[in-house]
Amino acid sequence: MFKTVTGGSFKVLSKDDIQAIHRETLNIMEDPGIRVHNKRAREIFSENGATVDEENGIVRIPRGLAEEAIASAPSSVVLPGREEKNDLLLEKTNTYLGTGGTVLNTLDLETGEKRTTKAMDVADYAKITDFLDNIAFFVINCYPNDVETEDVDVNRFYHSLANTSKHVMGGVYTMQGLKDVISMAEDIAGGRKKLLERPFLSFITLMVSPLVMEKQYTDFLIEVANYGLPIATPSEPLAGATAPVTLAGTITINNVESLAGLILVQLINKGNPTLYGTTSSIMDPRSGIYVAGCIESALINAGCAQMAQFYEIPIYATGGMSDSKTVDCQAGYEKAATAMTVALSGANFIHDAAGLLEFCTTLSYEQMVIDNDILGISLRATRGVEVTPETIAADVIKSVGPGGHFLGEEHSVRHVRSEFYIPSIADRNTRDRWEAMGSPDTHTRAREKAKKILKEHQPLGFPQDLNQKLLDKFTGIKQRRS
Amino acid sequence: MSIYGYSSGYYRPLSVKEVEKIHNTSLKILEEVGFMVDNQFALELLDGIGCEVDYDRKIVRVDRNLFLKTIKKAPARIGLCGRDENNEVFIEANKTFFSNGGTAVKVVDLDNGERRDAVLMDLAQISKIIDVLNNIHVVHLPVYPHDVSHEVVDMHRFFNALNNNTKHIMGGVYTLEGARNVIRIANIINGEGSLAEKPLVSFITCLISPLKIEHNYVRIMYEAAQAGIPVVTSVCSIAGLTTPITLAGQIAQLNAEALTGVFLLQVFKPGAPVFYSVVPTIADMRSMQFLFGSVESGLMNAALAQLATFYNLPMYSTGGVTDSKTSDIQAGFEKGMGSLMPSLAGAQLIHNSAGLLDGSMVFSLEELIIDDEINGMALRATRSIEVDEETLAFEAIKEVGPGGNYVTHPHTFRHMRTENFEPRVAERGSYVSWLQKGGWTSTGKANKLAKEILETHQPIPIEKEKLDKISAEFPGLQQIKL
Repeated sequence: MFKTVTGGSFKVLSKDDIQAIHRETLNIMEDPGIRVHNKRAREIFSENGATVDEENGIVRIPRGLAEEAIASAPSSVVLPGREEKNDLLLEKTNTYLGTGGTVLNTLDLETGEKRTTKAMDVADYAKITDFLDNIAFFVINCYPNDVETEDVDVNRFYHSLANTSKHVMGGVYTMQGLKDVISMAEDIAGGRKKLLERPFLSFITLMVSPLVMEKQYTDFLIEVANYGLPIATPSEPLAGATAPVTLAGTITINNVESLAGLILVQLINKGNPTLYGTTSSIMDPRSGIYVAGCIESALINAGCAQMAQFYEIPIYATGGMSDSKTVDCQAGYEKAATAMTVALSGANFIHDAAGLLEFCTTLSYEQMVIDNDILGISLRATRGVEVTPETIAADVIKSVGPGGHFLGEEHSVRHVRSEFYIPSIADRNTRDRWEAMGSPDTHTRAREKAKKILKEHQPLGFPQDLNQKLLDKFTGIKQRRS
Repeated sequence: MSIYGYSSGYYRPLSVKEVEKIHNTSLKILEEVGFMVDNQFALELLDGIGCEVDYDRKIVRVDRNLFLKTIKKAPARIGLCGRDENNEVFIEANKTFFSNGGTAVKVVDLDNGERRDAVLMDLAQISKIIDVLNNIHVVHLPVYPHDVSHEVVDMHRFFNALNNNTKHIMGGVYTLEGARNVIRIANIINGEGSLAEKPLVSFITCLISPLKIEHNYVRIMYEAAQAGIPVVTSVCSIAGLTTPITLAGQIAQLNAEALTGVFLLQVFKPGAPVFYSVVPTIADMRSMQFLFGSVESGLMNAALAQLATFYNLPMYSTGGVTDSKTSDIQAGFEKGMGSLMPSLAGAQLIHNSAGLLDGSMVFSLEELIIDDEINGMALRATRSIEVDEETLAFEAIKEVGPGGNYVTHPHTFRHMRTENFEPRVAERGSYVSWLQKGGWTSTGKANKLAKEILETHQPIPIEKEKLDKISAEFPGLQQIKL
């Protein structure tokens, strides 16, 4: 299993607050309800006792139905990797952080210029994720602009799975693509049964705010739920635009939307592993555009994490983002504050936390390496302070006494490795030494490290014959030019 | 605008039982290990109230009942006044305020970016800029001016900060004579004999970890206590060097040390305003380099905030520090987390939170501007989420309905100014508009803002007759007014 840290020491909502949000959520599900632009979904809701107005597509979910469906969603979801050491156990306040997307652009590692992403970027970002020890999973983070639309899904999942044995999650773009990806996953797993036993991939659908289930995403949701693979049903309300400007109102509407998706999944396939979710943020009131690195987004996510804990359903959440266009100080503090706040709240699966800049629209390889350190620090903070007689060390304090020092104590040697987070990219040299190294800033150090990882790291990959089989079967898969 | 601080304390790294365990260990340390006081006068005073004093080794041990009875005399709340009465802040449990960092010996020159020795003009400039920064509530004397001789440095530092800033001025004093001069100057500015009731300045003294108090600082503490000036008894402890390496052990010892400071001041003068003062740090165990920006510091400050609340004592804590040598992304993420963690946990006066780089060696005006914004963000997070009928916005959600938008809804207008923190350094424009405006990094933007403030801002001046009086009494005092 992947290293697991337990959060939950930060709580933005009181018990009364949670009850109030839950109460209004059930009220909204009944009135005004949600608009479902998908006939099959409306049928499923109707068959299970929801009131459906076919004329305007409005579905009103009675509270009994909602509560029963929520209760049938599993409280514990394992998202396996292709290797067991990368398995994630999503439950309670277990906290993992990883990548997110999907973006169309990356800053080029060689030139620093912004350019469109290609299939090989999917491969490279998966590979660098595979190496970095605080990034727990790979949510496929970019769009291969160099392949045809019908080949996009299979390229995204193939290059991801070929380059990391961590759990892979992604959205899909076409129904055929979704079917191809599942078929490919069966080939890799060795059949449907084995795939369902250890689903090393999972899918994301999306609710549309306010209170809408869109046609195509809902088709994908129905397909995945019927098959039985894990699925996340996040929504993305923007406070002040597609949700009330108040954070409590935004959490409430997010709660309604995400639960509506989760309820539909449960009505299709009771017990299907499902992640409640949020990618909510705010609209900048001055410019009217979506911003990602704001602290309010972290508060909304922390609030949603508490709602998920209340329902005892794992959460797909969002943190560690920035609106900066470049790898600067702003990127640092925005990412740190949003990653840590959400991690401390005990959100289970925090995506978008590595590699993203510019409102989650541009990737940076250097940023992946830096974010790995930010996530390491967030996880250390989330682990908290361990208090036992051994860690309090009263005897050691007594034997050293006033004015002494603890350097040579056996107690120090015993705990130095586990007690402190050792950063991989942050500089801790003296200034003299740092200057002797040529005064490299963090961005420069990260660039060198990213290049080294891409050059040297060898991910698990596929056996030769399996790989050939996949390439023969899915001819649209783009290959690296040698 | 009077500043009241935000209610905080939603983040609790320690359980109630763990707080108790630490408390009991600290009392045991004071009973069995004791502390060292290198001052005969103080030893006799302590002997007189019933402490067990070993005069040869200068070790004092205190029974827990006597200890707890004595520290109960300390006030739970300290008002810190500025020259402008609107800038008064009250330091008490669960209210968070920030002060900038000090004392740095070098500065980053605003014009050429070079690192050079700090001079008195830097202190004046920094003070002037802090006067307009909303998220730095108390001035911590930022630098040691190399162009002033040591014997008169205290009055030069305090006076020139007071002359260019209207907030409360807190700082270290180097000599007893210096402390007396500063008290005299503060009396002239504040009104004779008014300092105890309306302290315009406060003094930072220090204890040496582990468990030791130096001769000179005892004298300064005593002097300040008699004048009614609030005292910080700063203890900088280093895990594995001056305390056990485990965080719990360090917290237990540091708690004992912070309480010792409070205890001593109450022995000197019952009711004397004194801070529960902590500066927990770690060292890089590979190089033994002292570290200031570690996540473990953040954790310990957060945990110690719980202890300060447990004792209901005003707290002086530490946050927002970085080990980066330059204003890069490492500075951003270390400061982002470092400010946020104690703030969320209810630390009260968080010092070192703005302007510092390279541990606390270097002061940067650019960093000061950026850090003010980080503090603002941390305070927004600390304010957390308000949940009531109005913020839950059920009526607005019903009116907008599925598929609508909230941009023009009255509910949005009612709350858009208060619900979201509005940054001014952080870039939130589109990539294209950012490039058109020059593609500035946050540091570049902060540089311009700092220069603008220096050019345009005029702090309220000290009345001429008071200045004349100060000049007459201290003819050697160099006065800078910007």
